[in-house]
Amino acid sequence: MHKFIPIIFFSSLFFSILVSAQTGNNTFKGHIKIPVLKEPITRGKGYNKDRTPIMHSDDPMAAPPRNVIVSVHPLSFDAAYEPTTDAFMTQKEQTFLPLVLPVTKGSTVYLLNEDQFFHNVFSLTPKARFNIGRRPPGNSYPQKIKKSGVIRLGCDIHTHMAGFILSLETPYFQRVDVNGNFQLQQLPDGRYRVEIYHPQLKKVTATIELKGGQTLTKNFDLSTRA
Amino acid sequence: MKYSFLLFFLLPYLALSQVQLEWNANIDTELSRGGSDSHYFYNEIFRPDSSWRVDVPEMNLLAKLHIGAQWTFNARLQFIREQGRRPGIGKDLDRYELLIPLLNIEWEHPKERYKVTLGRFIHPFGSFNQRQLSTQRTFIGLPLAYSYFVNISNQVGFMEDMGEAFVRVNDLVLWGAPMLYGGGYTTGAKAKWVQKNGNSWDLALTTGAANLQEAFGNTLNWGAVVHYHTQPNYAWELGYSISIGSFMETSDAVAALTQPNRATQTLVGVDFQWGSGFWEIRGELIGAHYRVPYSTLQGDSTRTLQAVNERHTFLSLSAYTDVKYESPFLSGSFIAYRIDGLWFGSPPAEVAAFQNTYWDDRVLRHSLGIGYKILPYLLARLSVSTQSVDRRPWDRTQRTFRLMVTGHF
Repeated sequence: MHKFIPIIFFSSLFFSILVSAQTGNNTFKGHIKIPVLKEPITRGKGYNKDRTPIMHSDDPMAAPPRNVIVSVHPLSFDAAYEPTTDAFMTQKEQTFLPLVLPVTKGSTVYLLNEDQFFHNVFSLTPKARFNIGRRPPGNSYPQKIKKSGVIRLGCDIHTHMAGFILSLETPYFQRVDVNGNFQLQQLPDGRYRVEIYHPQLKKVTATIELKGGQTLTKNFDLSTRA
Repeated sequence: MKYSFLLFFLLPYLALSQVQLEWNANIDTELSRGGSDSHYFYNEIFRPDSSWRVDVPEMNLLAKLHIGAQWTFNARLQFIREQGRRPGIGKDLDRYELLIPLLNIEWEHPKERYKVTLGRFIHPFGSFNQRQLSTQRTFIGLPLAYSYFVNISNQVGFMEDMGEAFVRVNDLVLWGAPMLYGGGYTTGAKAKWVQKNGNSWDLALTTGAANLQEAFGNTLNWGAVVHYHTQPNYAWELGYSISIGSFMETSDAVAALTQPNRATQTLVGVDFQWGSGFWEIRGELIGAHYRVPYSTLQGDSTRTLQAVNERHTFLSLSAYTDVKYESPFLSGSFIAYRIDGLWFGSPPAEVAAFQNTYWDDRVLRHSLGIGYKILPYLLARLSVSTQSVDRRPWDRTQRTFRLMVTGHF
């Protein structure tokens, strides 16, 4: 029995080192500057139906500045990720809130209708096509997201509506705050690909390396990339 | 040019206002074949061009210019094949017409409860008009109530033998032209009021009856339209419409009548929509009342118009219902069925002397359609229809096949 003690000890040490490497305490933060953006032009917006007035939501989650998503994708190791919990995309004042919902691949997104009339949600994105039909107010519909990437949502009844699910294969992502800042913590040591997504801007990518509990600050200026 | 001074006053306002332009476009490409009894008025295919063909029926450019928060300028530029003819390349391009059916300026109350529109706008009668774009329609063809001609001319009122058999009078070919409905757009002023409970009223003063297709600026004519829209519950939407107006056009023939501005059309309509889950049912019932002068023809070989300065009343009823099912298993696809009917009342005794029991032929039509959204900007639809006129047998002469792919953004 005693001869196994060193093996158990060194095995524990090895796995501890391995685990600590993937649960490191690095921080990646920065500020993202985006240009002043108009509302996205969507199908039929220039020719709305007269009987259903176009509604506008003043909710900040509908506005471009709060819909910048920063994600970091490990290049030097595989990161396990769990389905995102509490992933809700609601329809309110004929607007998808939030405009962009980031989730991990395999998550279930709950589609809500908070207006006082019917809504529909559909996606024509390849490999993620779905149609939940007309749903009355207060109705929640679960939709599993099996594909990674951007999934564009629409409403067949209100053709000017557009929303986006950003399905990611990494647990490390964040929506910028009201000032355009982000801070991703507890990132393990390693190399990463940084992706910055906004539906009206070209995707920005960069490569970073984090180690030894460092805090890396990197700012991005997207104002010239519209 | 005479209105250029308006631009002079408008330009400083435009310069100081926050201006934002939104624009959309769409183009239809179609493979079609019509039966030998095709007609532009019932299947939008010109009879001599009813064999297999591929063409572009319509292109549209739509613009919405926001001038500040309350003012909007709307325009639609429509490039459309002329009366269902087969357009070609080069010299046949003249078979396309360039139209501006929509051109208006709108003011909207900050709380979106009132809206005033001036210019050319969508006719508020009924519900189908609100689906002017190809991408908003389930079927490729229009409902009969919105497209079918009736046996009344906007030049001489009612006259025997008009309709499919055209009549030449004073070197003018006179058709029984005015649609039962068919306007789509109109010109004038419109006010919209949305009540606190969500119900809404549309009131419009226009330059003609709902069946007028052209001559929006004809000062002879006038029109008034009211539409009330209500939604009893989430699934149901109901609309009630009344349209009154005149539709007589100036022509050499009408000069023979001493009181030319006496052809009037009154429409009363109910429209409904029910939708839940993957099902949608829409329909309309329209009653039409015409009060028109009628004319007769004298002579056999060289028939000339003899105006009769009396008015007669003609009644008709039209209805359609369509059912649409979107498949949850094949996202973006749907299958739909529509039934159309037109019925005509008994003619006055004077007319009945040379007309059959009804003053025009009754029509019953069945349409079946499927559609698939290939991409967010690409819609494919296929529809087939068959109809029976005046209870004649269902045969190939009245059938239509249309396959359309619409690109849009």
